[in-house]
Amino acid sequence: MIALPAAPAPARPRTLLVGGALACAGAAMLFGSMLGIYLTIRDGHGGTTAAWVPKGVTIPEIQSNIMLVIMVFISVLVQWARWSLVREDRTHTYMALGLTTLFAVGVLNAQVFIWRQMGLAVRGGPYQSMFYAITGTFFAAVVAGIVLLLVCGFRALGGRIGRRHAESVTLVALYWHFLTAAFAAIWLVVYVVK
Amino acid sequence: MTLTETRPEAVAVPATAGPKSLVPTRGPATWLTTADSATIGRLFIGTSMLFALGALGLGGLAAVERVAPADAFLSNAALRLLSLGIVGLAFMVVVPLWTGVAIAIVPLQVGARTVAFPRAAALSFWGWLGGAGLIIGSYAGHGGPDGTSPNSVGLFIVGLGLLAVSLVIASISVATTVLTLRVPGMYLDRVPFFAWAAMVTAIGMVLTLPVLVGALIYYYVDHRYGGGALPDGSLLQGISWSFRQPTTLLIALPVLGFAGDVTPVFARTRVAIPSAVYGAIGLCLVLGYGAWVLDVLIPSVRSDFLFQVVSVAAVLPVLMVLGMVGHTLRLGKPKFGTPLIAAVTSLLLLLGGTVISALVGIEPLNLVGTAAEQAQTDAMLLASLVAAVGALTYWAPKLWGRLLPNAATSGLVVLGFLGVGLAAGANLMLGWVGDQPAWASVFDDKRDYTGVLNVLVAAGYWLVLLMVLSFGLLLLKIVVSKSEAVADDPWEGHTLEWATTSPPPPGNFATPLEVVHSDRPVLDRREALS
Repeated sequence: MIALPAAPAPARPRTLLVGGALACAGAAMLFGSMLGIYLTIRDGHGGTTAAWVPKGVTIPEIQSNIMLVIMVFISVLVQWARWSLVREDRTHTYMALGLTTLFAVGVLNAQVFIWRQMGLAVRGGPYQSMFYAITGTFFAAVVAGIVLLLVCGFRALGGRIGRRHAESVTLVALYWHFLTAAFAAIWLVVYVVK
Repeated sequence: MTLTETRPEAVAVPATAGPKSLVPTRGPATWLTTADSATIGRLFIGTSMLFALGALGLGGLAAVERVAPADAFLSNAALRLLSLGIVGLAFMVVVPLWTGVAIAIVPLQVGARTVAFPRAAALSFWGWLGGAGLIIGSYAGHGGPDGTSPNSVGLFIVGLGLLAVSLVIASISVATTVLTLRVPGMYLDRVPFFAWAAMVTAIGMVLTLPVLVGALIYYYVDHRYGGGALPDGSLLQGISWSFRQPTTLLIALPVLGFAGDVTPVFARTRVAIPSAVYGAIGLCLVLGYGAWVLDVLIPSVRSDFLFQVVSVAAVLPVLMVLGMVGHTLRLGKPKFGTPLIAAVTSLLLLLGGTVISALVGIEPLNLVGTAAEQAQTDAMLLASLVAAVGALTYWAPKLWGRLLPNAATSGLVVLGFLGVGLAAGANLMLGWVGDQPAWASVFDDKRDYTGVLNVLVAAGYWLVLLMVLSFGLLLLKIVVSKSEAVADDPWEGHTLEWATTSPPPPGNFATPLEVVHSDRPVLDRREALS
């Protein structure tokens, strides 16, 4: 074995952030492919809203618009949490993380409301099947985001996250920005174009 | 101010001690909790080699069933067995086998103490194993993509989804290791070829497998609730893009990196134009991205101009790496060993696979949907297995702290080469004879030739099976034997994995590494010392 002399200490790598970005890229492919398949199948069923959405079904547009607005709010709030944390402003960090979690639960509530309002049976036909598959997947992604927020919140309360370890909050912020972008695409395809 | 406490004495830390999570653990009881990258890699490698025996055996049986009278041998189960054989070969054998090699070797090559997110990597192994178990369970219960039991078909979808998500997690771990944990001075254009190929493959998997998961979610909801959004009985066709061309090029991509690393070591020289190899490997990501070939939704996609271009162009990166290998061997003073033989033979097989890919892409030949596509899959995936034997022989000192016998492993590589050539060649002929009336008129008795060709396919599969089985037994014998420890750098390697002990200590390197100034730091040091 050839011994190699010591190197200077490397700069701290942003491992968590790069891994998170790759995970978000994978999730973007998931939602992108689901929307692509949705549009292709829709095209195969006539390509118009009238031919695709079952008669008598009303899609609650107001609630979906509210969901989009909440998602944008969440993006701002989670960025506020990160901004506060890197400045060691713990009070605002806790407040921002708490509000983000509250709004995220609001997104779940709005999604459940939309499902109940529409009153569609999953086994009704191709539209129902695809609608529930795509909105259900997004629902699961939001639940995962809430879990991440709670973990970050508890770690911050326990003093495990501060200015020097803000990377995990940056990762959570990145994930919620991604979710906002993903919902914007879902909103456009599923709730506007239908 | 008066000091009232004495300063605590510094505790001497052994130079080889790493963080607790990096300390390798031994034995089955500790496999569940290990975060050691070498152990996780070995778990992936060992389990996928076991699955290889099943997948190759089934591939051969399915070919034999096509020859024997229906119902007599396998009760019309040929198609189901064939689908398990192919799905298993891709996602339970080749992808996880190379993922395991990458998890164990890439941190060493880039000078990292461990793989990025080691616990996520461990989770990915158990998730992958669970998914594989569900898939096998679903086939046992008359499931699979074309199964007869609805519950078992659902189990197959869930199992494949779990398996794909787990492989994405492992891929994120590997790609992040190369992107963020490199030793100082190791820019991306100085990364060893295998680490580069592992990163490109991992990024490709991160972008490809979620598309498969998305399709599986739709299939599951459709199957479970009967929405009818996707065509009935189209599950196998709906997922087949993930193990057919052009995706096979992405799956086989680590072979190019392995060949790129091994050739200059055995040629005892440097690669003349390393950027060409980096470029060829990067090109494979573009040409091997196959998530857009969803022929269940767009039936005409395989006759599109883009598909034809991608199919024909797939030859280019393999030719580039093969050219580099030939040029490097010509420049140097080659010494022959199993890794070099495996690198050259598997590259030749990959070249054969990409040529078949080009033939399939040429529309007038009408080979789309014939056994020629199976020949392409065989050539690419089975060539990866032949290369894996060479890779495990090459890196055995780092993986197990043992050196495998050169003559025996070389023989096994040649055996595998013959097997792959037989299986892929016979399947190509089947595509030619069986499905092409105009071409088939060359032969007087089409049926007889088809039978012989199917027997040859089965023989090819079983030769590869024999290679994997013999190699596994040889490895097991040598690993459990109390033979002497191997030298730290038995091959006189060029890259950083050869700058540490065999096997590596906890944390991979006993002392911090120096700044790297080229893509061959250990060779640089050796030349400076001589």
